[in-house]
Amino acid sequence: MSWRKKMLALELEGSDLYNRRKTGTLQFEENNVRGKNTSTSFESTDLPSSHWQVMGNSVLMGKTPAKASLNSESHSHVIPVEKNHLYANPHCSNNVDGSDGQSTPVGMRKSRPVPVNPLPKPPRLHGIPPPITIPPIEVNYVDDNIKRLTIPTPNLKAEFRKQFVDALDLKEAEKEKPPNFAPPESIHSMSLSSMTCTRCGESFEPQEKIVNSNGQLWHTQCFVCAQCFRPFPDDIFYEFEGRKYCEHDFQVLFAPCCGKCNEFIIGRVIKAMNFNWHPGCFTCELCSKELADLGFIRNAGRALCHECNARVKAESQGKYMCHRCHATIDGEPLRWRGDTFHPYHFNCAACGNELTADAREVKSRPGYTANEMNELYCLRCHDKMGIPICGACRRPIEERVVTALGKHWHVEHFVCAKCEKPFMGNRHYERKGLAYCETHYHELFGNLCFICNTVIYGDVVMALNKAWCTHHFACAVCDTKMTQKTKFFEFDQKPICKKCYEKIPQELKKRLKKQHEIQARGGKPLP
Amino acid sequence: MSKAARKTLDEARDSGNPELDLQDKQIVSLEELPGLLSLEHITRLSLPHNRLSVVPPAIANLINLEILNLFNNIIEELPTSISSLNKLRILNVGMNRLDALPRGFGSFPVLEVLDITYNNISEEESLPGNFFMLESLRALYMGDNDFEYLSPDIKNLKNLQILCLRDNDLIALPREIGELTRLRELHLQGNRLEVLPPEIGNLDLLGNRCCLRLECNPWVPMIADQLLLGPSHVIDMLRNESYKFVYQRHISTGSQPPPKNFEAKNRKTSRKRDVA
Ligand SMILES: [Zn+2]
Ligand SMILES: [Zn+2]
Ligand SMILES: [Zn+2]
Ligand SMILES: [Zn+2]
Ligand SMILES: [Zn+2]
Ligand SMILES: [Zn+2]
Ligand SMILES: [Zn+2]
Ligand SMILES: [Zn+2]
Repeated sequence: MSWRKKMLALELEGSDLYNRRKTGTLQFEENNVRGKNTSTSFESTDLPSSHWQVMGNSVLMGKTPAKASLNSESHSHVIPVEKNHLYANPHCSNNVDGSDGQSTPVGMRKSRPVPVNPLPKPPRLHGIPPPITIPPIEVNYVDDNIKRLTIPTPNLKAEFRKQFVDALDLKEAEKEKPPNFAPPESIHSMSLSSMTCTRCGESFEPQEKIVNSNGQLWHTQCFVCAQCFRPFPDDIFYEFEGRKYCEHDFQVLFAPCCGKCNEFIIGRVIKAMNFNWHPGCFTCELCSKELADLGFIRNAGRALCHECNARVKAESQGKYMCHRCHATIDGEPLRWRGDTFHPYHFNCAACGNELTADAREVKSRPGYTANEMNELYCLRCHDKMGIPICGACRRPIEERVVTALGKHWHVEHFVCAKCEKPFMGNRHYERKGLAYCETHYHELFGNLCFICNTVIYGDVVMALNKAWCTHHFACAVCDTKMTQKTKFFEFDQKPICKKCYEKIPQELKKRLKKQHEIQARGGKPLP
Repeated sequence: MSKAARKTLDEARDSGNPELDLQDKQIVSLEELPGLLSLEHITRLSLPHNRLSVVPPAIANLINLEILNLFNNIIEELPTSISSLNKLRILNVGMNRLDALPRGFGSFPVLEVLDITYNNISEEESLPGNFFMLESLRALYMGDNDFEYLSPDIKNLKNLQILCLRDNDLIALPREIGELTRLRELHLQGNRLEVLPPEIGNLDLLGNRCCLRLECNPWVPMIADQLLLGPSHVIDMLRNESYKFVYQRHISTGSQPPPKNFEAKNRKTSRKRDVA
């Protein structure tokens, strides 16, 4: 059992974090906090501290032990204490005014410097030398000077309590306790008298609950955040340079903010591009790869990975990047499996000659997924293979060929002239040398129904310069449905059924008839 | 009311069929059809060839109506509430005894086809002020009415494809008719027109889906001569500068308009009540 907490001294000069920390630290001159009750009870256990990573000169701590790679030996001990038990004692809570972080606790002199501006200054470049030939990446790992401590789990507590009680040679051995902490009935008062609070130096009252942190004992009301004097929320506190802070104050005083997500960074800090970052937040601006371990290149104010940088550089010169050697391609690129290459990296699959940019990619094994088995041929060998050329992309068609409009097409290149979606074997409509999907053929060239005024799909009834959906073709006077075969009469260029025509006043029918005759005579009156 | 009508109504109520056909059932009043005006679900109500003289304001209860057909009744007046049928697309009130359309008639939001053929409607005080706000109209049938003039506001009916003015008393047409760029059917036969505004020459009325009827008008010789060769020759001529000059001179002289054909008009059944 370790009764002392190890603090790692760090070289902090030159770090703005250091400065912030210094000025942000609360100095206790003395403390006079006193407990009222005398009965003591505690629990404690060995708890591995959170893990620390040290590198460079920022100081932060790993929040999750699993992530840590550098595990310090430092252990801490927290006593007590579930919050409920610790703070349930009414006498204790009276002694410290914990309600207001700015007010001075009773009986305590306070010197409380105001924290300096928490915004990070531009960091200086140092740390790991930059990878390869690239501008420096600065990856600063975090040190180990600060501990994050939590309350032990119930069964560990039980174990520790037993050890502790044994060590004190108590008369009454502890019996099995419920997993949740309950104070032992009594601890020898003689041992009590020799114990004093680490903070105020006063002794403990019988029945008083005592906090044991790393073997140091505290009045519960003395065991508070060095900055705000409040109890530690969720029983989590951070220890730095011998002082304990609640999570909030610790972050405000010591933790940098991430340049991307703006959250505090606890754990590994990446310093780069004039900001601090979570490792997961410092990513390639183009492909979002994490850059902390890969290194990065500053390109026009952006952090890029090597590959993206090479590609961007090539593109900016109007050139492609070779995906084999990552160099810029000066001449025409060779395209293969979706990427660009220097042609001279390849040889023709048939004649073995070194290839040039006019080499052809052939999907030679139908049934394999796209790209998987593609081979490259020189133009001469390729032409001997007699492969049809796509009317859209002018490239050879190795897979399914669509023949339409007097040309061959890749299935995916035979598309609607309006929406450019491939037909993929669906019906298409041809008009004036172009192909259309059903929707757009009708939209552009189709008929609108006189009744519903929408495009007619399927069968159309055409009459009197108008069109109808078959189910909307009806007598314009009585709405009785008609078919293409129904005999109808014209009335103002609308179709009407025989029954309705017969119901029309005789005088009107006469006039209409006469008008038709005169119309046929070019407007010349009847003789 | 007839048993047949009641049966049709019951069927409509039971089946939920949204289209109700009640043609030629000697219906005199919609009150004979209890519950009809509460069939909110119906989208089409066809009542042609009946004896209706009144359309009750409660017609507006049929909020889902898209098609209302009242052709060949003896209706003298429409309720103002009718234009609150917000879904009405086709309204056929042809062959009735309407002298006018009700106030606010132009507020139908989606009316596409309006048929007021064979009534007694004329432009003066017969059309409500907002009539030409029916921007959604694509077909306007007003043959066999008493229009002498057509308002220049016709130009607001931008979507009009069909305009039938057959057998009215039209003396002149507004130049603004030339702004109806979507027009493809224009029925002008049987009026008192002597000239056509040259702007009609801007319209596309000669395609294979078009219809231009000009006969039975007292045209000036320049038009009559071209009509003998066909409507396409008339359109061609309207575009000539020489015709524009003739037209301009004709409308500025203000000569006596040709007489009305009272004899023909008085035979209309829509006037029977006057005669009787
Ligand atoms: Zn605090
Ligand atoms: Zn972040
Ligand atoms: Zn990248
Ligand atoms: Zn290369
Ligand atoms: Zn292609
Ligand atoms: Zn399409
Ligand atoms: Zn239809
Ligand atoms: Zn009919």
